[in-house]
Amino acid sequence: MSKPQANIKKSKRISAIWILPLIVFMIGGYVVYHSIKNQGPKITIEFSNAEGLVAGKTKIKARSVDVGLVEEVRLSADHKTVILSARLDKEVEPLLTEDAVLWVVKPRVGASGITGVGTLLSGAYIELDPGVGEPGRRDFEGLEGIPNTPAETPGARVVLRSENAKSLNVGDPVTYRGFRVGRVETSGFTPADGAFEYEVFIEAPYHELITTSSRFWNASGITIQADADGLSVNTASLESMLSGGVTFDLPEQSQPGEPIENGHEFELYANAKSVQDDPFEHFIDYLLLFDTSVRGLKKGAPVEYRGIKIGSVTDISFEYLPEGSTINIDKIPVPVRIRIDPARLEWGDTMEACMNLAGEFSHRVDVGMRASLETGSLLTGNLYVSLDFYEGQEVAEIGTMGELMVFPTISTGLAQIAQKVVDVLDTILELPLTETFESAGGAIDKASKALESVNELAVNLKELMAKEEMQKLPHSIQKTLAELQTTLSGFSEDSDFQRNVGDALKQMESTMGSLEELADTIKAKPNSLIFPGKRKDDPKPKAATKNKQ
Amino acid sequence: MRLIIYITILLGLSACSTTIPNVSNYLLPNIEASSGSSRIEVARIELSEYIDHKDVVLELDDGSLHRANFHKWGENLDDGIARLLERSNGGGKPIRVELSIARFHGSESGSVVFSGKWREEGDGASPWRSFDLESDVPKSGYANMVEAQAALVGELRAKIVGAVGE
Repeated sequence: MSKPQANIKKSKRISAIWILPLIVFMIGGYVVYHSIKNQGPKITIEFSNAEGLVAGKTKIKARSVDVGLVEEVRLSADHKTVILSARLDKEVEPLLTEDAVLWVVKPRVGASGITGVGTLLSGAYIELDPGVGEPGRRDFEGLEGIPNTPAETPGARVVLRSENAKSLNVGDPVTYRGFRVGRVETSGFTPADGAFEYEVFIEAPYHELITTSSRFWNASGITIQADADGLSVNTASLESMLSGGVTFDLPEQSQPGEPIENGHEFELYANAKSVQDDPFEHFIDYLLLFDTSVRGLKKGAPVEYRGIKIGSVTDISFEYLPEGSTINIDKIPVPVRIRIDPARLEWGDTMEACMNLAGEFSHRVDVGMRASLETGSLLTGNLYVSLDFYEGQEVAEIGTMGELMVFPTISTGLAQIAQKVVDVLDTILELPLTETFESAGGAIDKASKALESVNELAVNLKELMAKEEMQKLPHSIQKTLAELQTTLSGFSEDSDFQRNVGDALKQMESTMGSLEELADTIKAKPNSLIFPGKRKDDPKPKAATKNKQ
Repeated sequence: MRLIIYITILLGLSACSTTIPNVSNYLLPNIEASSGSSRIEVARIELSEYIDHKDVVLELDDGSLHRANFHKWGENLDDGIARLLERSNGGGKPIRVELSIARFHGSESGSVVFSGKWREEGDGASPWRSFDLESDVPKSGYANMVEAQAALVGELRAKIVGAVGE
């Protein structure tokens, strides 16, 4: 009987036990695939610092709706900036356009008011403004402040240029007759032409108020000016004086003008007066050469025709003279550049009007039209330029110097009188003594009359100074300054206003401290609001022991 | 059975109830007004962050600071200190001072400290001068500790008047 032999067969079938891990692996794979597929975009944002930004806590919002979360905050490779990594919801991927901007919303106090107060309790967050470009961008440079108005916002953007010192800041208001209609969005300086350039946004529908004839001027501060017209004080509203800003309007005498397009450039005038001085776009440039002193003549001084202003002085400088002409110092004329506005003579504010008026002046110079320096104010000693007709003049014509036309001049007024006095003295010196002796009697009579006139003038002057209006003038100025001081003192360091703000901030700080404490307690013990638990009694201070020093 | 349920509910509710101790509020007690002709006018007081609130602060034996839960200042601490410093019978020209207070608290072991710096305010601000005062509390309890703190303010007042001159 043979021993039974086990018939061992190698099984080729996979055991059924592996089906379960396989299913688990497939489900796991699907979950991972689904998670990756539905994961939103990851972006990086670069900021100069991470103040108030916390990984895992700071949210990203678009139009105040949560769309993502900051996952990581780290220093950049060169340690000069911080890089934030954030994960956004998948649905907002189309919002990550080329011109999308992100900025930190936190409490800010500026010229445009207090913003971001809501973040005092909720903490800072990052706001996303989608823009209108192509989507697909992932790396962004965060803005330090609130960005400019979105491109699609209805309104108009204009550029203001000024050669004066920087006077506007980003966020400063733009007003129209005291009503706020826009804001200053950018401010920059172009070293090439030494001018400040400000981009200003005017909201719809107020942008329709701006035409090619509009003029912008600085609305802040107080201007006290002494010129050919005497003393003038200009102030804006108290709000503008404190917060600055720019305002615009149509100058007097000007036509409404044409509507503007985005990016239209305007000159930024220093104040309202300078707008009224030179409100027109088209003018004729002339150069005047004076042989007498121009002390008292300033830029902006009026150019008048028989007492009516038709232009202004734009520059006084030797730079207009040809090279080498200042070698003979006793024969250097003083060049004065003026502009004449045809619109002031009702010729219209156009290039054509300028050409026509220039032609007219050429003809009038032939018949004695000349420019002269006149005294505008005896009080300030300031001068202005006068155009008028004078008989018996030598033939002259409008010449050129460099690119400018030269208008012939004449010495009149005080300068002419001074010259005549010199001439008379010269004549007297040339007279023989004997003849002088014979006519001495007549000369004494004339001198006596002259002294009487001087006496009369002195009496008139005394009467003028004794007038009640003249006496009241210093008092009125003093009173105005006192009122101004009282108004400003309301905002001084020791004022009630400052004290109240200080108290309110202190109160707020205390409240925030309490809230922080509450938050810590809730974090440590979430049910403490319902079950506060018993607070431990305070330890009691003991009496000092006798052996203690 | 029903009785047992009621008793259980009552016991459960009684477990939720807590006894809240009374909160004591303190003012720095008035000290004797200075008798000289000089008087102090406080322009500004800056408090350290750890005492810039209404909780009375106690330094425990292990060196940690404890903000009392049931012992509070009844006024802003800087107002109280200014009140005591300005307490005077003198009518002369005031000495305007500003202070920066670094420490002002009592300790569990029975002492009080008051330190910081002060200077005269004026067109040409004088240099800061520091002060560091300490004393024992003769009896136990918060009220006695507060009284000892007020006495230290009085010492500082005498120090300032002495330094600036009668």
